[in-house]
Amino acid sequence: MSISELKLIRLEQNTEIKSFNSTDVDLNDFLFSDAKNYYSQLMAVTYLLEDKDKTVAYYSLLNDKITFEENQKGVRNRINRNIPFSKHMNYYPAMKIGRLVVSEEYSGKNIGSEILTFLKYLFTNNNRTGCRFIIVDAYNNERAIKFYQRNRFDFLTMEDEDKDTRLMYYDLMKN
Amino acid sequence: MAKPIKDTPVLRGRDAAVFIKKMEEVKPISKQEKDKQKEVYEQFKKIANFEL
Repeated sequence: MSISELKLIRLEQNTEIKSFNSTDVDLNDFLFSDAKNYYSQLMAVTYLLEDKDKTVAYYSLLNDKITFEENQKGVRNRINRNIPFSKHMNYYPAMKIGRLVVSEEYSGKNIGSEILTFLKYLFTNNNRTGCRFIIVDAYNNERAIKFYQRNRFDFLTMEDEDKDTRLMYYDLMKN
Repeated sequence: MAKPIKDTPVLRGRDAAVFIKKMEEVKPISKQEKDKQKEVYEQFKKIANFEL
């Protein structure tokens, strides 16, 4: 299966969402119950990959930032070293992937990695605002963590090691 | 209703130090990977129902 056989749809209030098959209730719930609310409140935008009659995958994006504690020793100097005229910057702009999921039927066909590849290029080469990092809140299981590691994401913190999900990030300066 | 999208915490202590170190030592991807990214981007651009 090739990406060229699919459609990429920006979900809006009147978008009819085609059937979607995930074994994870939360991921189904988000798509059918919450995605349009996030959109109407300008909190996140969801994109659908569709074939003729099914939703193949979806992902939701929102703005975010990586912030450092004010008095974190040396951090501000390091951040500001290459940014002219910045005085009090203790954060980096980022984009967060709120959800990214491929339907059961299309799992294992590299679609998730292609979405990430697309986003890395989009947010480096054709972005309307500054964005240094991509952040994702990944399910804390071997399959999901390895997927993001294969796509060169690192853990953001060790404080969520024993939680259901783990925050991971990709530095767009790699591009 | 699904679980809310998790907040990104403020980085402090060892987490911040490790993060900064990785940022300073960032290794650029290869030209091959860059070309692959562009190729995938162009494919998505063609199938999008909105302007990229």
